[in-house]
Amino acid sequence: MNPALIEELVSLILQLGPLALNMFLKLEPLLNITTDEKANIANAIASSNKADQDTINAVAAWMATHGFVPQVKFVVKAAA
Amino acid sequence: MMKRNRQLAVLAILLLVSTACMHKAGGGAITPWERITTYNATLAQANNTVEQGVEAAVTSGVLSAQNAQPIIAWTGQVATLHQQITAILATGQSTTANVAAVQALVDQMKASLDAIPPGALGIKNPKSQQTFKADADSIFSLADAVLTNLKAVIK
Repeated sequence: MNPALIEELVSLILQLGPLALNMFLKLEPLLNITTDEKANIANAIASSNKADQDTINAVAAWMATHGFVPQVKFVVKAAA
Repeated sequence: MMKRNRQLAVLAILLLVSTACMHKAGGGAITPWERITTYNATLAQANNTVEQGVEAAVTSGVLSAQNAQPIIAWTGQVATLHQQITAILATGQSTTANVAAVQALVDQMKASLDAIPPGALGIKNPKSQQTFKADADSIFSLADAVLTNLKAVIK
């Protein structure tokens, strides 16, 4: 157990207020960290990608259902 | 106010119980990259929750589809930008260039909120019981936390 990290994470999530309450069940898998660092990171990356893809799919479906023109693929302007 | 206080109390109890489980099975320290990627995943989940909240607000009649559209679109933009951040983090390298790229993406994430009419952002999200503006600020706090931790391990 890492008390400092736990304290930091609690502080961070508490800043989210009620939003964090709704996210609790979604976040639970991330709280089960193993001893394998690579696996933990891969799990977090996969969780992140899945959530983002779920959001993108949900946005596209909602737009279509409500008769809005699908948004143009957002142009990413990352630093060169 | 009482309802909000009760929610926060429940939240605090849930977090204290759940975070007690956030440890490695062997009791080892959690690495900076585990922390960064965990915060990063939290951001994606928070954005997904906001999107679901906007849909719920429309379904319940709190928000018109017309007013919801820019917020829904914004969550899609955040997810698209965030996928780029995750791809950078997946390389496992905190170089100056990577930090700058993540910073640029976080800045775009924040700037894209300006396209949403302030009136729509003042509506309360039924999923979080706070305004969509407050939800967005929470997402930005997580983005800043990812960036701060990434800068701390720069090589």
